[in-house]
Amino acid sequence: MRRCNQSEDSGQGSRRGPRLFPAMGWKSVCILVGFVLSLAGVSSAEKGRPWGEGYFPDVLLTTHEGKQVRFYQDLLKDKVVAINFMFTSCENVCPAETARLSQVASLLGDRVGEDVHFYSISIDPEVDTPEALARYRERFDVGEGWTFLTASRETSDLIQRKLGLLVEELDDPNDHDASLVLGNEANGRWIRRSPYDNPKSLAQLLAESLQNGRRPTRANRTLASYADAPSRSNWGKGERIYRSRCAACHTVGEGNGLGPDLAGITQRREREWLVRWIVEPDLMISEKDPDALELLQAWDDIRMPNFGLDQAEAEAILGFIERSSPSPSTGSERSLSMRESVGP
Amino acid sequence: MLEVFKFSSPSLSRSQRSQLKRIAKRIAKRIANSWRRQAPFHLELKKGNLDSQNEQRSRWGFSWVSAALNLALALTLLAGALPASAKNGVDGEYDVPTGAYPSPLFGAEPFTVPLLRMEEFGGNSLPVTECEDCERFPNPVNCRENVSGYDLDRFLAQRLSPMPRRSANTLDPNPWETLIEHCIRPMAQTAAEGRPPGEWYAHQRWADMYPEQYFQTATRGARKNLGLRDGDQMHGYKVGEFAEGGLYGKPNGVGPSTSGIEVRLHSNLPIQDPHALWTFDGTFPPKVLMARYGVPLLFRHYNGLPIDDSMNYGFGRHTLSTHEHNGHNPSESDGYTSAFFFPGQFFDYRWPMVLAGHDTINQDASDPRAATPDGNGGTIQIPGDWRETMSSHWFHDHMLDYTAQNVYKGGAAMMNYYSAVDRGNEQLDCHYADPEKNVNLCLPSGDALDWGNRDYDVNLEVADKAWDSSGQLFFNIFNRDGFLGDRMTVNWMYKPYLEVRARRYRFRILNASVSRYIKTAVLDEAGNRVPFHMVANDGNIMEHAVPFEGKDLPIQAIAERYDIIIDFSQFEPGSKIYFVNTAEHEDGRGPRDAPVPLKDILNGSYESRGHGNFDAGVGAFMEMRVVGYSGTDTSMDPKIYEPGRLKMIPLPGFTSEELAGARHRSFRFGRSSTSDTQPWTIQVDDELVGTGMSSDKISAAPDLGAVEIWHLETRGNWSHPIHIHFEEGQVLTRDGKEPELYERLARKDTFRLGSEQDSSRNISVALRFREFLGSYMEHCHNTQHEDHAMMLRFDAQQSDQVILIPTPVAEWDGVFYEESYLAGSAKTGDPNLPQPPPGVSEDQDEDGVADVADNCQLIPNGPLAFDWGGNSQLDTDGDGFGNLCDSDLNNDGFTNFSDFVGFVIAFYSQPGQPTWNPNADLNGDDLVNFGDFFSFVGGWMRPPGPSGLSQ
Repeated sequence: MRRCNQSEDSGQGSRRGPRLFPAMGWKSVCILVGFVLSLAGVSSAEKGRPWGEGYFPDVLLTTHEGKQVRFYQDLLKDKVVAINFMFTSCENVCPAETARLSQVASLLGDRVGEDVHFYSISIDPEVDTPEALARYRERFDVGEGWTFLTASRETSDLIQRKLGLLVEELDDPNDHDASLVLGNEANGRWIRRSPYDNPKSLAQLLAESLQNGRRPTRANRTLASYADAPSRSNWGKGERIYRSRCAACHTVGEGNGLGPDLAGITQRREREWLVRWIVEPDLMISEKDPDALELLQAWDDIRMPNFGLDQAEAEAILGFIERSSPSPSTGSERSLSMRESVGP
Repeated sequence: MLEVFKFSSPSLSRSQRSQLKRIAKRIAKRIANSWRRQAPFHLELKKGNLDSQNEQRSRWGFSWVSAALNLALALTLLAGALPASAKNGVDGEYDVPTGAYPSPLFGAEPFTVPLLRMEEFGGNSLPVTECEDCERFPNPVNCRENVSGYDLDRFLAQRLSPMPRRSANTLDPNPWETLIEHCIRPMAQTAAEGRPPGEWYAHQRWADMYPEQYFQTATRGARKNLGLRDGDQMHGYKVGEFAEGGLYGKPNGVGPSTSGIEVRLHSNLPIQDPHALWTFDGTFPPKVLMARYGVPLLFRHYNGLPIDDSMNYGFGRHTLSTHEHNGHNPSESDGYTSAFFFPGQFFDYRWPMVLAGHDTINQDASDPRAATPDGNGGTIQIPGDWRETMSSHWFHDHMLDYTAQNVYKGGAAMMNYYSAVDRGNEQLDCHYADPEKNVNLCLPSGDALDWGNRDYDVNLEVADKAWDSSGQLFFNIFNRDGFLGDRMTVNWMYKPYLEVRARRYRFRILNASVSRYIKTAVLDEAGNRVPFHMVANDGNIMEHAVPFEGKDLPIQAIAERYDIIIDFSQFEPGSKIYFVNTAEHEDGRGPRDAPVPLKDILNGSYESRGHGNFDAGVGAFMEMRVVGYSGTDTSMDPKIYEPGRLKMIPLPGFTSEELAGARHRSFRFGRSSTSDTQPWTIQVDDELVGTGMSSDKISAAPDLGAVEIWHLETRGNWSHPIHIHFEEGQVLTRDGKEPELYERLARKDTFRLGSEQDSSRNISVALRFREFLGSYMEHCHNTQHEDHAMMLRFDAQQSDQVILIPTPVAEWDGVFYEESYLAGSAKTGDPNLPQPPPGVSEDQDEDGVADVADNCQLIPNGPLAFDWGGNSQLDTDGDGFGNLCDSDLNNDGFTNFSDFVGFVIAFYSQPGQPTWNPNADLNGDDLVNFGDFFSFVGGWMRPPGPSGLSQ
């Protein structure tokens, strides 16, 4: 019976001290519960299947629609899920992560909500009311099958601990482990990935690998020989940063995303302003830079995250955007991907 | 009184803080001591429910009466325990085993079962023709079970079929196709071999290094050994200590066979469930591969695991990838993490068994030291650098996201490389007898066989394990920091003993744990340190034998191998010698900075702290019982190979020119610097933020033949043993200082980073990349960290290679490829460190044309550059300088006034007009205008260029 065995000792959980039952301590409760169960002869999770009902707490959370749901029974049981923790006032890592997850969701298409479920759980219950979450969700144009949830701090801590995400030694209480937890409750498989992973690989994990390939994802994609192989792509610094940080919200010449299309941006705005906007957007907003505020308003309050980039890196990104923008004289569309434009 | 200790003071380090906490708690513990003594008992009871107790009863003959008594007793204890636990409010500092209660011992006492000597895989000559009537890999009965043991043995005993191919066998279907389609879904196609198809993962140098021998096995769930490999043992249970009457002649306790050996960690512990433990053949003893240099090997690895991925007892994934750590192997056979294969499939790994330097050093095989035993008292010379001879390896699973779980679950075997120098024969033409002429170092082994004697040469796979209330292997998949077991095992036996002769022995000690470091003390019964020598580090024989007198082995991280020689002739028969682990963990992040004092271990005070307050992995983990020896020990005396005396295998070393011309890369392991708080990332070179493993990202791309210096660094309080695949490195410095003797004299593949003893925060390693190409990895070998992304891909490349090896993505119905990409500094190294002249692939202006081919190296004029519709790389005067960086219109090598005149004449001309001068159309838009003028001015009073073509 694993239901309580791991519970209180999981990860660093114990070091924070008991929270749900402060008077007794988790362990004691478990002992008691386990003992009662064993007396009653109640069978725990199936033998050798420790990561199920007995492991995940069936605690209450509230969805962005104000609905009460239970963590295990309603959210996890028999489902393939992607879970992250966020809070709406988080300016940098959360919007970036939400945007990355959006990419994964759009790659998965209809399967989100059908056999893959996304959960974003707030760690800031005071601010993140269901209404606040609903607004945030709307701003990011999140579709069906992706639920935002709020719960008491104890509850979100407990869930983070159970998923192995609770970080004990953070200086900033609002900092948190931004990892994604991907899992399939039915077959007991759980892994952790970075939100900055290649969205294609995250989508492949959720739709294919974690489901043991139960549904075909693509037709035969095997490359037969060198001749079919893509040519070498050497991503410059600008493209590297652009792809991992900017591309979640922006495109160059392919239309607006969560943020504006950046094609020709260097001709529309002062370079100095652009560089600063990339380097310290949060500061510009707090200084009430008129252009920054205008952007914020035009884009549904979605903040441009501060990724801690420096000036040279901002320049490299702008260089990449310039090179990728449609040419002004020929008007021909340039491919966003360098890889398509480098011949062998 | 406890308020004295402010636990959260930020000025204290983690270890200081926890030390204070521990002191405080020890005081608290003394106050509430009495009930604690009972802890192990009631904890054990908490683990079980009625079901598992029923099971225990049936297996171990517990009576209902005693069960009832236990319950009653537990009830009494609970009454006492609850308030005490509430008073303390903490569970203890030590999270061992990670996230679980102590593993119940079922009455198993330390040193009561014999060590299992490893069982050899054996090997056969590769057949030359296809087998016509061989059966195919047998099917399991259903989706949830392993392939049957009887069927498997029958299959493995027949010869290799189908024949191996250079590129993956994707023509034959998966032999389990029908069942897989029934269990999963209908599929358009399946493949017999899981190796990625086509050229990319075809065997490199296949004809050149065509396998002479093969061995095959299947990974499947635990089952009883039926003696499949009895006939494959080199000793045949007929010679030396493996003969009848020898120390190791009756592995199953009855006779010369492993038949009947069950998969259990101690005779008192239950037999492992087939879903809890997966290993090669599914059987114990654990396996060792006997490999010889110069004999290329084919390893056909079948996957015989259940099709249903939930049949894993809570951990482990049923797809596999196998890494031979740290063979000089081509990448397709190196076990790249995303080149994995599915149940029913096989994967052909071809290990060439060549010496590094094969292509460049001793090519004519004239050096008698670069040689391999011929099986007949002589040697066969082979090309390559004999100083790169390797000895003690292991191979293990490397499955993306699941390496820790799969290795822990049994996916590991050892591998001994035999050579003329390390022959496994201690009597034949010993080097010490005639150092000028002989090469055989005669390390302790035995002499009955020409090579590969293991009588006095013992493989030890040390690993910590944990199990649940029913005694089945347990792994906490939600642990973040690393997973620690509380029970030490050697060759999978819980604290075994080994009978040894009163003579010299070689022990090849491998730390095969997930997250546990060990530090081994060798003690006699009185607790005195026994002197010994370390002869190999990471499986590579060192230049000299390093004596350890009154000292313990250096700390040994996961995957490190230390070969030591102990002389038991100094002890009377009947004496007992112990291996004692003094490295202590509170959690899986790394060991505590200092070892536990031996006296605390010896007098029992350490262990008496009780669960939650000590690390049960500390203490004696193996006992050696000395028995009489009547033979003559002709093995080398390591004393004569100590520093200043004879050399074993000299270091290949690096010339000062090589080091001066080396490319430098930096790898920082640890938390990323931004609010992305993933603890496991690697920042490469000038990368702004660390990133996790991404199979398609090539973080470094060393050129074949190059020497590189890799600077590994960590900042936090975590410990990371960094493993670099493919090539052995030599430690240049640790924290800027010369490393200790046992590293200075060694070639290594795993490098300890961290604040623990014998380690450092910075380490610089020199490496040579030779012979093979393709995708390899560098990662933290705390496999839990690795699985949480502390890993990167590096590709060894030809210096003029322009095509990247794509990234395999494996699924049931085949492997497809995604594109790969090079990180910005992959070819150039860290821009903040001195670098050799730009490599061939550098593209300084990022225009998509590499510098060597770029006719304007610093001005973007390639396909990625902004252009005005003209040709990229336009060079109308054909002088090797692109127009955009060639204002030298008259080709006199310098741009001056006469060129300006020419430009003015051509100004505002178009093709067809009399004044048109294509050389003046710098930007190639078929119009000479101000756009060209600005570029023209850029070259004013300078020669054209720089250009990669004109140089």
